[in-house]
Amino acid sequence: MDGRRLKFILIGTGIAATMAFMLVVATQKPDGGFAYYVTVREYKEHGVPAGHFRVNGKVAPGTIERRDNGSRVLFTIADKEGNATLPVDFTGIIPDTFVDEADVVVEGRSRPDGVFEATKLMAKCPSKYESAKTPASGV
Amino acid sequence: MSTLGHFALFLALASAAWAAVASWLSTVSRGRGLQRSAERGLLAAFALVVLAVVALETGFLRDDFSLDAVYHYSSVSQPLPYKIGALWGGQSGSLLLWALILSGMSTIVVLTNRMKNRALMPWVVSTLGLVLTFFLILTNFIASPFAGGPMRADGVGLNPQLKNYWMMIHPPTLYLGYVGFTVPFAFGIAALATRRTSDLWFRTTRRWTIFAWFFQGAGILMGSYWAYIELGWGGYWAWDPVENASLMPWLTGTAFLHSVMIQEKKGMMKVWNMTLVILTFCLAIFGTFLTRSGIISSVHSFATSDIGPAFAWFLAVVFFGSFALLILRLDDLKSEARMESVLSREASFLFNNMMLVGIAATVLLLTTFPLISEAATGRKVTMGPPIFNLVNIPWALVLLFLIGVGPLIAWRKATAENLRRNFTGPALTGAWTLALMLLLEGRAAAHAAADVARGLVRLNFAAVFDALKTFYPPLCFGIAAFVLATVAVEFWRGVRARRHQYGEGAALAFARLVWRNKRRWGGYTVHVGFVIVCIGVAASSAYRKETVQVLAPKDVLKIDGYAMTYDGFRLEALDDYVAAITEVSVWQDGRFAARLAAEQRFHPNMLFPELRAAFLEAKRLRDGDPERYTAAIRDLFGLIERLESREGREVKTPSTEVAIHKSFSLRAPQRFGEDFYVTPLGVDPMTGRANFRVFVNPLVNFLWFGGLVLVLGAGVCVLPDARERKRLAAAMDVEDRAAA
Repeated sequence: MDGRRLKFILIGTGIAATMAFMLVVATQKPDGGFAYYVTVREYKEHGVPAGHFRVNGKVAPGTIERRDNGSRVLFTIADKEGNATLPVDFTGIIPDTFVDEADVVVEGRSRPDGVFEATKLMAKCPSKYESAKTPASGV
Repeated sequence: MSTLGHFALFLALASAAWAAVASWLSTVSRGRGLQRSAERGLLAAFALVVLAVVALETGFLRDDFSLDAVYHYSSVSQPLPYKIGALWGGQSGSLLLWALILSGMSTIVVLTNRMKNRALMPWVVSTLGLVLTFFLILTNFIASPFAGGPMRADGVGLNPQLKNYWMMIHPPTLYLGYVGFTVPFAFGIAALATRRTSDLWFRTTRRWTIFAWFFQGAGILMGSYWAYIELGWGGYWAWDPVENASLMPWLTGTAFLHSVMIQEKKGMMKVWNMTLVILTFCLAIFGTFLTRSGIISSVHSFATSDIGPAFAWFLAVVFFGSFALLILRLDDLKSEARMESVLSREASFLFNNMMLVGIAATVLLLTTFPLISEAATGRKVTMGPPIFNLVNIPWALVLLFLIGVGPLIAWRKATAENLRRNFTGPALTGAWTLALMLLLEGRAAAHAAADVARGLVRLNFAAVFDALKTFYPPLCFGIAAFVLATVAVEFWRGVRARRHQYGEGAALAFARLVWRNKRRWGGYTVHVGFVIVCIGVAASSAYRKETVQVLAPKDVLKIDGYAMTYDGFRLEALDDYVAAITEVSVWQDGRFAARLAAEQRFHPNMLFPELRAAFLEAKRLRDGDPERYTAAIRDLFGLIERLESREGREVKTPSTEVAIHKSFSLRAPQRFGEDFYVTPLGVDPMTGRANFRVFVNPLVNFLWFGGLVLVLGAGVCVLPDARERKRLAAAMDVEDRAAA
């Protein structure tokens, strides 16, 4: 192998190695965006785990309590069967898709009192009123 | 109508499948008639898909709520453009749109290649037919847009956030990109299959590639703009899986556009180019898959669906099939020359490719990490935006630098003279800009430098990268200045040469310069656009200011030299929502700038009859006595509250309309391109007390403006060009002679 070729291989390997190194550094950073993704049930099964989590669940109907003129919201998320629930406290931009029974992902960690303090709230709502397909009795 | 649609789709599937099979058979039996029949099959498939689309659109326009798609994404009160656009509001409609665009493109390919590329066409038609067949299988059997149930009185309606002009044209634009990459891919496969691996396959699809790349880029920008004006968080990019899905094929597509130039000139990187076109197509399919399957949770993605396994199989077949073919043909793809020097255009293009593919690979790894980690350890791990930023920003800066180097550095091996002649001025311009920016940062830069040093000594690399963040914007501006200077020098030299040679005026010389070599100067324009985009991104993300304050009417909010007075609010009942519209006056550095109106809207759930009645009543009062009108809306708010406590759940969907003041006044040059961005988070319908979130985003409009320049440059690149035609004709001659 001649020198020129070696030079290119070294540069290429160098770039790839640096990229890989930066990936490792980035993922090891505390609170740098690395989070375990769990459902409400999985989160509850492991007790109140320490560390950064993304928890997926559905907003339990009727639990949305908007505070501070809409910049803070308290609510409860539940798994699909409605067995495990988790109270959440979120301050920040509440997405428009955040409604009852919306499928949400909250990111953050548990406070000592068991409430999940979220720094991020993502909500997806495939269509507007899916839950109202069959309006409740008396309506 | 739905029966017609069902039939049309089924016949389209049969036609596409026939095209794929017959075209392939014609390569075995050399049947020319068979090949013609296959091509007609693609044309027929297009006509039938158009018929299906017309049938579905008729359903939307006639409010045919017996169709699930219409029921879910449209409603009686939905404005007409959104009824039409609701076609791609859902999954099945989106897949139908994919099929429509692909069959349309296939038709153009067939019609424009009746007399040329005859050796490649059987395989091209077969590949296009195969991809089309897949999408038609999906729309026929797995996610049919014509699935239906009993007739329903009214539809659910499109999600209010999607009722936005940009959101209507964003998906079709992006799809033109995603789907467009199928054409160069099909020609690449045909080249491999027929062993005609000269440069013809990508020369003949050059405009297709630019076309796809252009729409992909425009689609990404539109998506960002939609997020910016609709989601109310003041940003435009969040490394969401769906965003990443659209970015990855664009990155590899960009790499492909550049690396084929090396093959054109030097006959090098042949395997690499095939690899890139296959990867780009796979990523385009993967992107559609990510967006539509919900396999990775995302803000945008829709409920988990049944199309996942089908997509996974198709992707596996395409990926492994294509690479197996590539490996079989490695002998045909030997390089005709080799890299001579690190300081050469070939090498700079090679490095640019490594950056682009490296970034794409990083994004792919981080986006799919939840799947990978679950498979490996049983625990899903997600990677957030800080990780993407830490890894990608430095490489993006290197890439930006290479944009300046690539077009000017000499082929083969740059001499000291070449470097001095082309780069002295631009390098000085860049260095001066960098120095000036660092000076402006002042103490922050000094602190950051010390932090970097300390981190390096302690081997605390996380701290190093944190501290480096301070340097990214100055570096970005310095490199941007360098690149802009290289392009300016090129244009200036070109114009000067023409003026000397032909005695033309500056403007004429400039126009003719661009016209005579559209590809080169269009490319420069694209580069300039990209640099402007980078400036906008760097400034608006690094120097953004924000505040959240609760204001009563007549209160004042202050931020970063701005003062905003909350003048008042009014209540309205429009289309299918009630709104609290806040009116604010904005003063910029003591000078009156604008009056803005930002809205908090609620879409009442019309499936509750009393709510529907109250809403229609309020709407009816709109033209009458203003006080009764306002009172009716207040009553509606009260009704919503009562209903919610009775039902134990929300009966409204909120949506927010932000207000933005864009500064383009030359009287305040330091604020040129800046946005003052207001979102009302909550408005009390009685007192008007409102919670405002306000952002000041410097230079953010450079992002959109740079996007327009990019569009212009890409437009210049695809214009018909005499020089390109000659090159293509020459390549075809070579090909024909080789065949003979």
